[in-house]
Amino acid sequence: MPPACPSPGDLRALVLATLQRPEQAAILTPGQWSLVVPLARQSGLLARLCVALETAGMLERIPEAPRRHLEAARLVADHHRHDLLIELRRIADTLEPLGVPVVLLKGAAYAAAGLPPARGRTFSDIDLMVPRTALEQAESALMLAGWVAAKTDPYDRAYYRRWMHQLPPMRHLRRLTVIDVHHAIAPPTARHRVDPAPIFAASTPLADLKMRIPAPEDLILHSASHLFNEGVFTHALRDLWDIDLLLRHFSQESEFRHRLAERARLLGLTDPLARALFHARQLFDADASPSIPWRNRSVMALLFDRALLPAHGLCRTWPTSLALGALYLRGHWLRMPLRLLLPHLARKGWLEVRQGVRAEPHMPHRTRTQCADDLR
Amino acid sequence: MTAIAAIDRADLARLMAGPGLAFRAGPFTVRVRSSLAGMVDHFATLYADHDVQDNDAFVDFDFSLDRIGGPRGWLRPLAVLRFDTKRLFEPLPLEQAPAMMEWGLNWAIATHALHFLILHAAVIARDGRALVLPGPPGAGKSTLCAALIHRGWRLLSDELALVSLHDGLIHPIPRPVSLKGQAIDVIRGWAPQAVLGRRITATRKGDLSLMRPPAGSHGDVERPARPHRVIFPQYLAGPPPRLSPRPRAESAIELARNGLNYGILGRAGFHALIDLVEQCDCYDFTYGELDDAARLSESW
Repeated sequence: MPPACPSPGDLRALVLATLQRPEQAAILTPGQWSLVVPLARQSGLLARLCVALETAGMLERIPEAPRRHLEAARLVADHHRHDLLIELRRIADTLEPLGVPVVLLKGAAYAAAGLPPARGRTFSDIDLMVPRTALEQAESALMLAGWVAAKTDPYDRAYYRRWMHQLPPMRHLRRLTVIDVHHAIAPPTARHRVDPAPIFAASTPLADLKMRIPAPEDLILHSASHLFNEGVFTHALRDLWDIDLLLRHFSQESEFRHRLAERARLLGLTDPLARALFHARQLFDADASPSIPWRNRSVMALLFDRALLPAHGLCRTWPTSLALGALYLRGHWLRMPLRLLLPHLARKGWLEVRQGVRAEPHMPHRTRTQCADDLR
Repeated sequence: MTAIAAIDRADLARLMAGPGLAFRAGPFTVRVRSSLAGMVDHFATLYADHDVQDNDAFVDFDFSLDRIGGPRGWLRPLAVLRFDTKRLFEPLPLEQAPAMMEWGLNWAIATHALHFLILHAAVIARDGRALVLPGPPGAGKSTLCAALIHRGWRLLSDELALVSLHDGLIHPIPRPVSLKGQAIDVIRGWAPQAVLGRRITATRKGDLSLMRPPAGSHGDVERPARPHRVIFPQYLAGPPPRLSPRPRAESAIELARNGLNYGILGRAGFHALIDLVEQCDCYDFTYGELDDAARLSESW
């Protein structure tokens, strides 16, 4: 750790300030760049930072060494997007014969529709949604085209099929892309079930692909629901940034905010929407009214604020780990009734312990170390 | 700039356990933190001639190497390598920590240095002209490279050929040379003055030892070299050594196969590769004895 390390909150502020006020990037010291680059990279924001600096005409003015990293991140993001669009075409061709609506979700939707969050973004799994009645046919069609179940554990597969709102992830044999086929945007077992029918009904077709994307309100609500209800915060800051970009983009139309609130009420997602708006305003709104003192914030707001820190070791202090743990449990609690949750968590806990004491380290995960193996 | 050798060993240990050792590796600045004695030895011995960098300079790659904590650590002493504080690779026995460091740095460069076309190849140079020795592990490129750098050639790299997308020159990044299996004893005999790190046993690729780059590699560390020749080496005991020309088109394809970031560079990578091949005569070279290779290399 570099000497005299700033607090996690300060580190986040440094990254966000550079993103929001790129014209000031020229005054960052090399030491500050040594913090900004890894923090942004681990948060999935490095390519976005490159785009922001380039748009502001600042990219050429920052020192060469950090600039190389920004440009490399953007190159990777462009590559991902290029590959993603090709992959979407393949998926569209595979599922078209089924004759059912196929709705792209999250990152894939942003990329296919050319929305602001797609710029400077990396994409991992491809999320899409089909009607529940078409789930098995979709799975068969994908298997015939080369996608196989990525999880081999029978418990995991059963978990997904019975309780969750998606099939187990499917990975393509050769291309290694992963698809998550959903039938709803929230688990059917969840405390607050979200009916997928209105989402299908309001979806719109894409111009050049035989697939659909959710209405703007639903894109935002799904992203908010995913971020605040599922307990997974791998790219939390970036996901919130996506929501902020979408809000700004669609709010150009005067009635949008009103429709968004109505839609949230209809789908039962007012809680995640409220959280999204609150945290986006706290973190991204340059003209935010003086921030509420910590004493007056709710416990949940404090926990989520921690979860929205950059996913880098310098921000992963013990209070953050505690907050993440608590929110992870909450995410599960929201997803499953207690009678299902307790055995599920007990099993997960046992697996962690067993793996921890096993003498042999297990096989490295392929995508992390595939390149590394070539280098030994 | 001071070299790592100028730092007192106790101070080096304190530095590495605290803010970390920042040093230049070719065009990059690397910072490593570690509380492991083996890692202090690694840098003191094998990176002795590398320049130290101030801790407030921009750091390209940040690593830490520590003993694994918790119940798992009590059962078996394992080392964990982290890049940007994130775990890279599965934990391995402590004695393999130096190897993890080198693999980790290779990975970081290949993944993030996208202003270079990076080939899996050794690169040596004479009179400003570079000889590229591509090859997958086992072909003998590291051994050949380790031998020739003690017979008048300058080491640019034993693992990663950094071909600039901007000007097509190959940029030096002298680092410890990997010697595997029998090559360890062969090179000890060939170059008794060479400094080798501890022999690491039972890695996934057998025994491994790392060799310090000769001091001469560093004086020219800022000077890239123009690609001149590509030679695909293959160790073959028995038959006499053979150098045979290889068609450029075929060589280009083989080089692309040895490309570590070729795919992601797209068109720019393709053009850089073609430019390189057009400038170079390409050959296959089979050899069984280093003496033969050294003798023949006089004319390369």
